[in-house]
Amino acid sequence: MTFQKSITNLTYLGAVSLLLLLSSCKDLLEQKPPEDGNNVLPENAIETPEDVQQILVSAYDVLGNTYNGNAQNLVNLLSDNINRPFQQDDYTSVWLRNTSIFNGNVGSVFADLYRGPLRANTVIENLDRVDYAGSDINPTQMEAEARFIRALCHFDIVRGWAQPYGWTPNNDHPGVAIRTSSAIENQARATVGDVYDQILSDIAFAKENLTTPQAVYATEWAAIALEAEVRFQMHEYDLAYALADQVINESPFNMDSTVNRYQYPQVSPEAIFYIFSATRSDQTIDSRNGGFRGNYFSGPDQVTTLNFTEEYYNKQKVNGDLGPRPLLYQSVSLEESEFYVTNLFEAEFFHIPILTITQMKLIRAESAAEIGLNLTQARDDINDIRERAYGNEFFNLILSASADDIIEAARLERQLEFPANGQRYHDLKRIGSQGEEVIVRGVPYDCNGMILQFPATEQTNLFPLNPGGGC
Amino acid sequence: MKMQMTRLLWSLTFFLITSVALQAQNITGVVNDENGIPMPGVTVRIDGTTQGDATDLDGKYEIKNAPVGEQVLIFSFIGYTEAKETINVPPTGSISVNRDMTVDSKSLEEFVVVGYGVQRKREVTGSIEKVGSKELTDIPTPSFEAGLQGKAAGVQVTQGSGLAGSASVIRVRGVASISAAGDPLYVVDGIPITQDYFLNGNRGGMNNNPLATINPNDIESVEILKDAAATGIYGSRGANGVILITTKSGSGTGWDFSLNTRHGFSLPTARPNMLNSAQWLQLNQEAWENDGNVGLAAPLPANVTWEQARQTDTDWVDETIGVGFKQSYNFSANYGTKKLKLFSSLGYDDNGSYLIGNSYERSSFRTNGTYKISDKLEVSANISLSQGINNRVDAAWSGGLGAAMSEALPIFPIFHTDTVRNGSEILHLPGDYWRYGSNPTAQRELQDWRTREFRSINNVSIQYRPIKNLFVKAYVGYDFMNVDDDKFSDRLLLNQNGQRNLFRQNLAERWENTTNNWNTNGTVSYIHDLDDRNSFTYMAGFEYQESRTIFKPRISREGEEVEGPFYENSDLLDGGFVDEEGEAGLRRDAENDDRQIYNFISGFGRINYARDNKYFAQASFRADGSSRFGENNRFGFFPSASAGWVMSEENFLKGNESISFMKLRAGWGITGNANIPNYQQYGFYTRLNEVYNGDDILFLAVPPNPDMQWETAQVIDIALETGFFDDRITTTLSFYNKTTTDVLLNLTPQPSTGFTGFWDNVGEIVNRGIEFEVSSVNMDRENFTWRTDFNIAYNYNEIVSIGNYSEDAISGGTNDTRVVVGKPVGTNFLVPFLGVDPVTGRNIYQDINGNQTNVWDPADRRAVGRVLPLAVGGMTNTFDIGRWSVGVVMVFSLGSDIYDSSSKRQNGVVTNWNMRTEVFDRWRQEGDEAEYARLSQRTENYGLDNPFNNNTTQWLDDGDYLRVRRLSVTYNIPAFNVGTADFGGASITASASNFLTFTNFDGLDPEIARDFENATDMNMSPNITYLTPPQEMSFNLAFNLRF
Repeated sequence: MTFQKSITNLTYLGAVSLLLLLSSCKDLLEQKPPEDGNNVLPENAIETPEDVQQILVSAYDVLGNTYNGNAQNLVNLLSDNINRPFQQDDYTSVWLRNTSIFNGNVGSVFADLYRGPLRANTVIENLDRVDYAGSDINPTQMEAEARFIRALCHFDIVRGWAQPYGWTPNNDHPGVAIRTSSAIENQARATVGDVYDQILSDIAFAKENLTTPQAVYATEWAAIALEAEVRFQMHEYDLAYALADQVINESPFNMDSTVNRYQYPQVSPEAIFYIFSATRSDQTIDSRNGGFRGNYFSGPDQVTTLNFTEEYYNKQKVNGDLGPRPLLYQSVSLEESEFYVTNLFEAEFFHIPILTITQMKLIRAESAAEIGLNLTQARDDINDIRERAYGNEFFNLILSASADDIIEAARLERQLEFPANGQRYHDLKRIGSQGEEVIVRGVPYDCNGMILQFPATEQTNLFPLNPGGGC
Repeated sequence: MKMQMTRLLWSLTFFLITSVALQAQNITGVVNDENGIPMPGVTVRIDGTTQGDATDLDGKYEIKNAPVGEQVLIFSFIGYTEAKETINVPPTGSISVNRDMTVDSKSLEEFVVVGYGVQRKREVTGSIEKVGSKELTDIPTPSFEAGLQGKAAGVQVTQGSGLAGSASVIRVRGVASISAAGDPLYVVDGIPITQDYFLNGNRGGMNNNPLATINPNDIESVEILKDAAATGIYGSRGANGVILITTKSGSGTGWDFSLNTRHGFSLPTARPNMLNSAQWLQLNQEAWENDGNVGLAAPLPANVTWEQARQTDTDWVDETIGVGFKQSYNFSANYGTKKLKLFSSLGYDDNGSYLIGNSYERSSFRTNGTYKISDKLEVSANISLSQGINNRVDAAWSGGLGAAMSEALPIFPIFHTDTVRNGSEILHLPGDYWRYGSNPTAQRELQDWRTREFRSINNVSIQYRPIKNLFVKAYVGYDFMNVDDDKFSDRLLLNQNGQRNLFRQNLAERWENTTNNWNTNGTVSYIHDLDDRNSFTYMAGFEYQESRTIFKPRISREGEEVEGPFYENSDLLDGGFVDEEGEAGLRRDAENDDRQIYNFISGFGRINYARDNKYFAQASFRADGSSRFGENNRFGFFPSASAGWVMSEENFLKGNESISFMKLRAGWGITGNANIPNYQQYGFYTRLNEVYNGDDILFLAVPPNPDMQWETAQVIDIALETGFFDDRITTTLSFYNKTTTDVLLNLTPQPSTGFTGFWDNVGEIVNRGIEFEVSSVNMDRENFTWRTDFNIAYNYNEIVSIGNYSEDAISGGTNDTRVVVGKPVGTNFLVPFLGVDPVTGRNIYQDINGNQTNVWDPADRRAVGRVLPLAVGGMTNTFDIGRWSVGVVMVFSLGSDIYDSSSKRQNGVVTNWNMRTEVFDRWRQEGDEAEYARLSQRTENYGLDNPFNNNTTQWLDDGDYLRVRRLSVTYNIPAFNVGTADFGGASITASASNFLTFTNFDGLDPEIARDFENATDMNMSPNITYLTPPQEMSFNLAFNLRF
C-alpha cells in the first residue's frame, strides 16, 4: 500500500540525512580537555629534552613524598625500636604485626613506592622521542638516574613486602612485581632472587653512566653507596666492604661532626643522597619531612604517635644521660606511665639523608669483621662514631676487640645512629637470614606478620598475597 | 378578474414568505463553565442536523432557523462532559437555553507529557508515571524531588539527610550503574539540566543538590519515564529513567492570583545517645584496667588531665542540635486571554534544619508565557531566576553533629575559663574556645560558611503550523548556574590548639564555579489522519546540547584586614593577586581555571499509529554523538518499539458492568547512560612548576581510553492497566526486564603499575521486577470521600559479569560493600559475628569454613546483606469530609540491610571516640551474656588489626521501615467576598511529616542518603550510614488564598 511505501521512503530519507548531518558535525564533538593550566594532551606532552627531564624530576618528586618518613616509618614499626603507637590505627596494625589488605598507610606507601619506577620507566621509554641536538641534556645520564630510582624503589619494596634475601637457599621465595615498563598490565609475583638481579642490573648501569656531578639528584656515589647497601643486605660482605671503602675514600662526602643529620638549610656533609626541601621563588619552603615530623614531634612534653620502647631508650642512655646523642632522647611521664620520645625532628624544616657516610662506615666495619680483614680500620670506624655520640673516648672499643665484638658494636651503633629510618628492621632481617637466631619483641624475625601485606588490588591469579595470620 | 388573481397570488406569496420567516426559530443562550464564568468555544449543535454554533468570548451562542418541535441540543468542549438537553422549539419566537458545563475529571488527566511532546494517556504505550503539583507542594520539603517519594511505583526516592539543602537519591527501577552516575535524566521544560551532584565534591560532608533551586510551587507536573519505550527518545541518556518537570503555564481567562504561606519547625527524627563525661571516663578506665595497666588511664585524649576531665561534662549533641524554623511565602499570578497566557510567581522559602546554624533559603522568580501570534504561529518563553543560599555547617566525618557522635568527648570543655600563658605570651583568654581536641561548637562559631547558588533555567520556543496538522517547532533552552562557596575561618580556628600567640590570621576562602548549559532542538510533527479509523503522527527532530563548566581556582586571603567572608566584605576581593610569601593580599591556588566541556549532537524520530482509538503503536529512534564518547565509539543508535491495546473497547468487554477500562501495553527498546566523566578518552599529562628542588615536573596523570562509551540498557516492559466500576478503582500491573551492558567500571589496576585507576565499559547488570499500583475511591458520599492510592515495586538486581577483572579491582565505595558477581549492586561483604564468648568476653567470628574464631580476617568475609531494597512503595489515603480534608502519606522499604559503619567505633574498640549507651551491655566477668565484648583499648583484643576493620555483621541491621511521611488536615473555604473583593477560595492546612516510623533498625534513622565520595559510592553505598545526620521531622501550618 502506498502509505507503507511512503513511510519506508521517509524513514530512509530521515536516516540518511541524519547520518550526513551527524558525520559532518563530528568535529564539534572533539572536546579536548583544556591545555592551559596544568594539563597537556599526551600527543603534545613530550616534545623537547626538557619535557623528558621534567618526567625524571617527577620521579624524584615521588621519592620526596615517600621518603619523607612515610616509607621509613612502616618498616621501623616492625622493629624493636618503637613502642605501641599512640592513636594511629594503621601504624598500630603494623606494630601488632597484623597488616591487612585494607591498611591505608601501607597501601598508599606501596603505591607511592611504585610510582617511582613508573615515572622512571616513562623516562626511559620516551628518551628516543626527542631530539637532543643543541641541548645540554644527556639521555644516557637521564637513563642512569631513572634506573637508579627504579633500583632504590624496588629495593625498599622487596625488603618491606617480602621475606629477606637469603631466607631460602636459592632465593626463589616470593618477592614482588618487577616493573620495567609503564604499561598497565598484570605482573606476576617475581622471586626475591629475580628482584635483586634486576636491582643490581639497574645499579650497574647507573654506576657506569651517572657522569654529572650534581646536588640533590643522583650521582655515581649514590649508585655506589646504594650498591654497598644492597650487597650488605645480600650478605656479600667482600663486595660490600670494597664499595663502602670506595665511597669513604674517594667521594667528596665526609662524616658529619653533628649527631643530628636532619639539618636545614644546609644538607649534612655526609649525605650522599637525600630528600631536599627547597626554597621556592616566592620564598616559601617545599617542606618534605611530614612523615617524620608529624609522627615524632608533638610539642614539649607531649606523647607522640611514634615513641620508643623502654629497651631502646635504655640502650641510648646506657653510657649515661649526657653526651650529644643520648641527649636526643627524653622521657615523658603521664599519670603513672612513661613514654620515650626524641627531639631529632623538632626543627620545622630539615632535609632527609637516605645514604650516608655513617652507614658506609658501619658497613665497612661490619663487613671487614665478617670477612676477617682490616679489623683496626673497622674498630676506628666504630670509635669515630662513638666519640661523636658521647663526646669522649671513654666508651670506645678497646684495641683488642675481636671480630665478634666489632660486629656486635657495629650492629648496636647502627641501631642507635638510625632510630627512625628503618635501618634496624633491615638489620634484623639480614642477621636472621644468615642463620643467627633473631627474636624481635617476642616473635621470630620472619614470622608472617613481620612483612607488610599487599593492598587488596595487587592480588591476581598470578600474584598471591602474603600469608596472613600475624605472628 | 385578472387583477384579483394577481393580488391573491402576491398576498399568498407574501403570506408564505412571512410565515416562513415567522417559522424560522432561534435558539440562543449562554454557556458557563463550572465556576460560572462564560465559556467561549463551546460547540452547541442540534442533534441530527448540521446546525450549530460555537460560543463567543461572552459564552453566547445563537442557532438560527432551528427546526420546530422537540430537539436535542448537544453542548461539547474538550475536557468537559458532553451535555445533552432536550428542548421544545416553539413555532414562534426564540428560545433561550443556558447551560453550565461540568469538568470531565477523567479526561482532564488524560494528557501526559512525553519526550518532545504531549500525548493522551489512553494512547501512551510506554511506562510513564505522573505526579501532580499538589502532591509536590503538600510536603514541606526543601527540594521538590523529596515529594516524589512513595508516589510512583518503581521510583525509589531516599531523602537527603537532615542537612538543609541535601540531595535525595532517586533511582528508577533499581540500580543499573556502578561507576557511572545512576541518576535519571532530569529535563525541565525541555532542557536536560545540569545535574552534577559532585560539583563541589564532598566538602563538609555534603554533596551538591542540583534540584534545590527549583521552586516546587512552580511545577505543574512531573512525569517519570521508566521504560525504553518512553525514554528511547532520549537515546544515550535514558537508561536510568527520565524525569520530565513541567512548570505551570497560564490558563483560563483574566487574572487569577494565589498566595501561599507556610510556617513550621523541625526536629530530628532521633537523637543519638552518647555517653556523658563520668560514663566515658568510667568505661575508658575499665578498658585501661582490663588491659593490665595500673593507675589512671593515661594519656587521656587531647592530653586532658583527669582533674580537668572530672570537672567537665559537655553534651555535644545538645550543642549541635536545636529546633529548626521554617517559613515560606509564594505568590503566583495567572493571566489568560485568547491570545496570551501568562504565569508568574515569586517565592521565598527559608528552611532551617534542626542542626544549629544550618539553613537553606531559596528566593525564586518565574514568568512563563505563551502568545498566539496568529492561528498558525505561537511563541512561548519561560524565564526563571532563583537563588539558593545554604548556610553550611560541617556534618558527618567533617564535624558538627558527626563530631558529637564521635571524636568530641564529653571531657572536652567548650571554653577556656582562665588565662593561659607560655612565658610572657598569652595563649588563651577566658571565653576563648578550647581546641585541644574536637570542639564542634568552636568549629561552627569560628567559621562562617555559605554556599550561594544562582540558577536561571530558561527557554524560548516557536511553533509554526504552516498547514493543518503540520507543526514545526524550534526550541532554545539555557540553564545557567553559578555557585560561590565562601568560607571564613577565624584565626583561632586556624591556629593550632586555638592559641592566640601563633601566626595564622583570619582567612577568607572562596571556591567558585559557573556552568552554562545550552540546548537547542527543532522538531517537525505531522498528524496524518488516513481516514476515520487510522491515524499516524510522525515526528522528526535534531538536538544539540553543550555544557561548559568553569572551575575557578580557590582564592583566599589571610590577614588582619580579613574581618569576614568575601560575600560580606567584597572589598577584600579588590586588587590583583599576590604571589610572594608574607605579602598581604588576595591569592589564588593556580593561574588558570579548570574547564569541563561536553556536548551532544542528536537526531531522532518517532511514529505513532492509532486505529479505532483502541489500537496504538509507536516506534522511535535516536542517534546520539557525544564528546564524552571515545573516538572509536562516537555515535550510538537507540531504537524502541511499543504497542497498546485498549481491550475495553472490544466487543467482548464493551458494556461490561465491572470492567470500565482495560489496556494492555508492551514495549521494547535500547537506551543508554552517558553520565560518564568528560575527557577520559584522551588521557592527559600534568605539568607543574617548581615542584621539586625548584624544578618543574611532568607526569602521565590519566591514561587514555579511546574506546570509552555509554552504557547500554535493553528494556522490555509489559503492563496491564484496568479500571473497575466506572474507573472508580484503577490498577496498573507491570513487568520489566532491563539488561545493562558495557557497564562503566572504574577499575583499579595492580598498584605496582603506579596508576590508581582507569575506566572501562565492561560489566553487565540485570534489573527485573514487578510494579503494582492501585487507586481506589473507597467511599464517595455526599459529604465524605475516601480515596486510597497504593503502589509497590519489587526489584531483582544482579551483577551478571564484570569481565575478566577481579571483584576487588572495582574501586569506589567503602570497604563495607563491594561488587560481587551474582549478587546485587552494593552487597555487604562482611565477616559473620556470632556473639560474645561468655567465658572470655571476646568477640566470636565465623571463618570461611564455618568454624568459630576470635580473629577477624578479611579472607573470611562473605556476602551477607544488600543495600538495595527488594520492594519499595507508598500509600496515600485522602479523606474529604465536607470542607475538611485529611491526607496520610506513608512510604515503606522492605528487604534491604543497613550497615552502621560508625557504630564499629562507637560500640567497638575503646578509642578516642565517644561511645553509645548501648555499650553498657558489655562483658565484665565470666558467665556474662553480653551484647558487646570485654572493653579494651587494644584492637587486638577484639581480634582486629584496626578498630575500623571491624567489618562484621554485628553492625548490619534490618533496614525495613514504614514511615508516615505526611499527615495533613486541611480546612477548605469556598469562594467568598470581603467588601468588594472577590476571593476564589482559601485553605488552612496543619501538617506533620516524618513524625512516625516503624522499623527494627536500632540506629538513628533507617532512611539514609549520606554524603558520597563519587558516583560509584552513590551507587554502591546507600544504606551505609557513617555519622549521617538523621532525617528531620517537621510540623507546619500553611495558608492558601486564591483571588
